[in-house]
Formats: sequence, structure tokens, C-alpha cells
Amino acid sequence: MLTVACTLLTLAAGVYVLTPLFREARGNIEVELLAETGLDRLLARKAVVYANLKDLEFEYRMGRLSDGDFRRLEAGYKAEAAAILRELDQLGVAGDLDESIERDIAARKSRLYPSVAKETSRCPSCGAEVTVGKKFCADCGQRL
Amino acid sequence: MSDFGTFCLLLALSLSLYALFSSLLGTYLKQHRIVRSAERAALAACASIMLSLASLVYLLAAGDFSVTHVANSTSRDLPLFYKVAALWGAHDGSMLLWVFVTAGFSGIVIRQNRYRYRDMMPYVIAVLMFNLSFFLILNVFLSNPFNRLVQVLPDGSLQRFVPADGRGLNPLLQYWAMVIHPPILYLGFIGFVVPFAFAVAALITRQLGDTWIRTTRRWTLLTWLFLGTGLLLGGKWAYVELGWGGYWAWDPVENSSLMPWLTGTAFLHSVIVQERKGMLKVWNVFLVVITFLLGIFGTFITRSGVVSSVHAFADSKLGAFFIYYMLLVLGASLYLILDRLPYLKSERRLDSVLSRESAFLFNNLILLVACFAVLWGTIFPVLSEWVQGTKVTVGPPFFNSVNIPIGLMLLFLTGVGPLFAWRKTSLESLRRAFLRPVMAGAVTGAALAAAGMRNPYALVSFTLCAFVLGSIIQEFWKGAGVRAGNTGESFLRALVNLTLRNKRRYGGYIVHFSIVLIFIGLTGNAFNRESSQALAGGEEMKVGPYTLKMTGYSEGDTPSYQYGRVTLEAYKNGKRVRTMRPEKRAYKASEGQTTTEIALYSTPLEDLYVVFAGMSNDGKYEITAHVNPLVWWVWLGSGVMFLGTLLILLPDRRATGAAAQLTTAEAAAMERAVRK
Repeated sequence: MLTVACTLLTLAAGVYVLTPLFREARGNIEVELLAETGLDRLLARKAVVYANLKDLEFEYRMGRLSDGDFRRLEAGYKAEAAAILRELDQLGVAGDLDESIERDIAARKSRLYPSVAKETSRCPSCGAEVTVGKKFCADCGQRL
Repeated sequence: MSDFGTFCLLLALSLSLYALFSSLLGTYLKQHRIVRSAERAALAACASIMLSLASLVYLLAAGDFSVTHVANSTSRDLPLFYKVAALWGAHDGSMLLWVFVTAGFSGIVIRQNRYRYRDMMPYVIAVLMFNLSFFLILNVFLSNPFNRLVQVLPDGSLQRFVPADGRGLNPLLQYWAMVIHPPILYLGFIGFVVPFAFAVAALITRQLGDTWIRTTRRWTLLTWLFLGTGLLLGGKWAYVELGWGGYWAWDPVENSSLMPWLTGTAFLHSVIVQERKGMLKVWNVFLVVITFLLGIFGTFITRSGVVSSVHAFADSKLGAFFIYYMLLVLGASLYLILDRLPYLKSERRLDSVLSRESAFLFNNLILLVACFAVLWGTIFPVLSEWVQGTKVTVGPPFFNSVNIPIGLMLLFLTGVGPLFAWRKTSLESLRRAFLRPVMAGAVTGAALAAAGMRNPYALVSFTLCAFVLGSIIQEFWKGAGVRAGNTGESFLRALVNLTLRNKRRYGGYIVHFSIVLIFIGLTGNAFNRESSQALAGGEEMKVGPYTLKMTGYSEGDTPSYQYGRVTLEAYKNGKRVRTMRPEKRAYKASEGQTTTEIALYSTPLEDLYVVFAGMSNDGKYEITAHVNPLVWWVWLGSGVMFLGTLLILLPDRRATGAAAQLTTAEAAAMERAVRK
């Protein structure tokens, strides 16, 4: 009885633990891609500076800060935020965050799965970028 | 069943060792499937440990006295509840509980982060499994709770042996707070392995931004809550069960759970500085390592028998292993920190002493000084034995004389810190922020002095309590005022929303408030009174404002113990308040061990605490009575602390992270303002 229970338990654990080794052969990680990027850090710092600014304003209105302190600290934070925004602009992010995220994802995808990466071409009518294999242009509706 | 239990432990050990190596191999080969397999092995190890624990619970409930642990810590007449609680009533079983909790935490973390931090997680798994394997090895090979009793026959051979009844659970442990106190304390000790594992993973992968801190913030807070709750439950138990009239005696085991709490508190504060200012990064990693090590040190103290204590399992041979383990962890962590120093560079310097950053820094230093003082006092007996050959014990006077000033300093900073602005605060701003709280403190101090209070520590403590209370009320009051002005909400509504929208800050203030309540209670110790007297029927004794009149004595018998019970009428200033019935019990299963059941009359102003110490030689009844002012506030404070921490732990409605307080619209507005 005991032997049976122990054997079953070991078998179950073995199967459970070892199956991933025989499946998911493709799912290798490309570690660098998932690491914190400089962009992540900049965005996080921007958020922090904004939160600091908001707190500062709140505390000023609570009457805890003198006018002088408030103006000096606010200017400091704003300069800091401006510096971060400049850096972000240089990375070409600040304008439309969604767009840059999309671009980033596409880039990561194409690096992970080069074969699946979508080829693009130009719409003959309006010149917008279209994915090869699409039936219509997303911009002007021209049949491709 | 007992063999099955051992088998499960062995299986868990193999699985966790497999997980340890395969997670490292997987990340080395960049083969995600190997890491997946490691994850599964870790989870399977947890399940196996759970089965093992279930076997032991079954053996305890069924009363299988062939198993050493069952025979040593239960008896037939024990209620089922205590039979199960006897799991942690002796060293071996409590070790299994420890392993179980370790496994549980590890399993939850691994499961929770299956799809996140793929680069860090293999190392997190490796650290968690390394830790789990260490404890499993100790558990299986040195303190296996499933060992069987054997007797040596006259011819020298060994034979299995089943006693008719067990030795019973230590009667001192048969109290509700004691039943939940060890598991909760374990949750607190062990939980720090999670932030520790993430810190190590962050060091190894060189990702020393805020990710590891944000990920483990809740874990840290939850663990800290468990540790604090465990401490206070232990205090409650000591107060009610041990019968010496107090709740804290600077016992080594108490100290060893206080130390990680102190460094954990420091960590909770200093991470705020890192999140906000990008400073103190090395310090934070260091604090996590120290806190984790102190948790291990606590286990070491409890289980190695190096220092004697009411709580310790003195008879175990694990000491050396713990020392090697701690040295290994310390060495490896320090190496990693030193090696990664460039990545831990501070993003800016301290601008001014008069800033919130420096208040946080002071708070950290003082917490660590307190921790060091406690550590010194705790290990001094051991060190003195090494050096001089005689064990010099350090009593409460040492701890009190060192820690009371430190505690008051901390209380002071609790009030001061939040009043400073970040970066630099001018004197004009300070005057505005401090005016009312300082007045509150000064008025209270002056009033108490005028009322005749002369104890300097108590005067300082109450003054500071009023000061801190004033600063907290001011924070809520003015904050709600500003919010009401901004949003048009009613003041009350604004107060609630303010708290809920900034749970971390205002929940933190609620915890600060609970600290004030606890300090009020602790300060009451300065006015404790005690009186012992042998009374015959009808005689009276006085203690403080109370008169106790002995009115009766009775004896009785229950299945597990015999008792003698004294009945006393308590009068306060001549008015009858309560009938007190302290007992003395002799437990049958535990070789007649006696315990005292105190009688307690607790009011917010003071506790009347009556102990029946035994019969005197001339046939009178020895009564010891304590009047302990303000103890009630300690328990109230612990309740508030619990609730305040829960409030912080409540999930945020918006995404977590540093910017949690900002909506998208606010951020956009901010961006426009900055771009101008």
C-alpha cells in the first residue's frame, strides 16, 4: 500500500515536472529583450517626478510650505521633468506613446520570430505603409 | 503513515534541488522550457510538503503514539484543537510547519510571477529553492517529526515501542493566542525570503531599478504585518498565561522576533526614498539581506539552545548548520552588493539636513541602532561565555536603559518626518508645519507636569505622543480641507477619499497613530505597582487604588488538570468593581506541571492583575496583585496597527506603481505645464 502510494506520487511528480522539457521547444527566452530598458526607466522617472510635483502642490495648498520654498522646489522638479522629456523626445517617444509602443512591439516580434515578421510595402494610391497580403489600404481604402 | 510523511519530505527535497539546478541551467542555456520545468518542480515540492504536513496532522489527530513527536507533545485527553496545534508544540513538528510555510510562500510567488520578470524569475526560484532545500535537509535528516519511538532491549537490540499515552502538550501553550502566535510569527520570519530572493535576482541580473522593490512591496508589508501581529500575540500570551505581570521581558526569543521587525520597518521607510528620489539603493538591498538573516537568526536562537529562554526548543543540534547558512548568505550577498556597486549608484545627493529624505535616513539609523542594541544584549551572554568562560546575562535594565531613549527618539521622528518637505525645507515652512503639533505637545507636557507627574521619561513620552498625534491630525485635517476645496466634496467625504486615494501615505499615518497608542501603553509601565501578601479568608490587601478582599477558596478537577481557585472581591476607592478568581492548575499529563491562571480586570486607565501564587507555609493563600496602568492601549494600538496595514494592503483601483496617484489626464496636464 505504502509502496504503491509512494510510486504513484513519484510518477505523478515526474510527469508533471518533465513534460515542459518535451513541449514548448520553441519558447526560448531572449533575455535581453525583456530586461528593463532605458526607456522603461525614463518613463518611470517621469511618473515619479510628476507624482512629486503633484504632492508638492498639495502640500503647498495645505499651507505647509512657504511661497519661496514652493516656487524653488517646483522649479527644480519642472527642470527635472523637462530634462527627462528632452531625453524621451530624443528617443522619439514622447509624442504618441501608443504609437511608439506599437513600434516597439513590432520590433521585438520581428526579432523573436523573423519568419513571421510582416513585410510592408506602399499603397499605390496614397503612398501609405501597408502590410503585404492585406486586401485594402487602411488609409484610403484602395483595393490592393 | 509516518513513512509516507518522511517519503514526501524526501521527494520534496529532490524536487527542490532539481528546481534549484534546473532554473539556473535553464537561464544559462536560455531555454525557457527548462525554467518551466523548474517552476513545476518547485510547485510539486510544495504539494509534496503539504502532503507530508497533512500526514503529521493526521497522526496527531489520530493519536499515534508510536511517533516520537506525537508522543512528546500530545496526550489522549487533549481536545482535538490542541492536538492539531501540537504540530508546533515541539521542535520537530514546528520545523515541518516552518518548511511548509517556506514552501507555501515560495509556491505562491513562483505561481504569481509565471508570466512576469522572466529574466529575474529563474534566480528568484533558485534562491527560494536553495533556502527551502536547506530547511528540508535539516527537517529530514536532523529533526524528522516522523521518527518512531524505539526501546533498547536487554540483549542490545532495538524494538519499536508504543507508549500507552503521550506526555501531553505543554500546558503553557494551551491558550488561543499561543496557538496562533507561532504560525503567524513564522509567516513573518519567513516572508522576508521573498524580497530577499528578488533582491538577489535583481543584483544578479543587474536590474537594480525599482522593479524588485515594487514587486515585493506588498510581500514586505504583509510579512511585516505578520511579524508585528506575531509579536503582539506573543506579548498577549505572556501577559495572560505566564503570570508575572508584564508582556515583554526582553527574552532572547522575543528579541529575535523584534529585530527583523525593526529592520523591516526601516526597509519599509527607506524604499519610499528610493522610489521617490532614486537614493539609498545599496542601503535597501543591505536592509533586505539583514532582515532576512535576522529571521534566520531568530530561528537559530529558538532552535539551537545557545541562549536560554521560555520559548526555546533547547534540545536540538542544529546550531552549527544555521551559523554556516547565515555566513554563506551574508558572504554571497555582500559579494554581490560590492560587485554591483556601480549599478546601485544614487541618482542624487542629499540636498539638506532639513528634508524628508534626511528624516527617513535618521529613522533608519535609529531603527538599526535599536536593532543592534537588542542584538548585543541578546548575544552578550553567549559572547561573554566564549571570552570569559562565564555566562553574563543581560537583564531588562540594560535593554530598558538603552531602548527607552531610542524609542522616544523614534517616536519623535514619527511626528517630525512627515512634516518636512522633500529636498529642502526653509525655517519659514517648518514654522508653519510645526506650530500646532508642538503646541499640542507642550500643552500636554505642561498639564501633566502641573498635575504632579515627575517621571522624566513618562513626561517626555506623553509630550511626544501629543506632538505626534497633533501632527497626524493636522495632516488629515488640512489634507481633507484642500481636497474638499478642490473637488467640492463635503469635508467628511473628502477625508475618506483622501485616505482611500493615497492609501500608502494615509494608511501609514494610521499606523503611526497606532504607534502613538502603543507608546501610551508602554509608558504606563513607569507607574506599575505590585504587592504580594498571604491572605486568609476575610483578610484584605491593598494595591494602588484597589483593595482585594478574600472571600473564598475552592478546588476542582477536570479531565486534564486539577485546580485551586481563590475568590477575591476587588474594590476601587471603596467601591466594589469585580470579583476576581485567579487559579493555580496542575496538569495531569505533563508530570504535574503547574500553571497560573490570572484574573484580570482591564480598563483603559489601568489593569488589575491578580495571581494566585500558591499556599504559604501557615496555610494562607499567597496573592500577588499588580496594577498596570494603560496596558489596554497597547492592545488597542495593535488592533489599529493591524487595520492600518490592511488598509495599505487593499488593492489599488488604478494601476500600481509610483504614479498611482496621477490619472492620465493629470499626467497630460502636467506634461503640458512642463513643456511650457
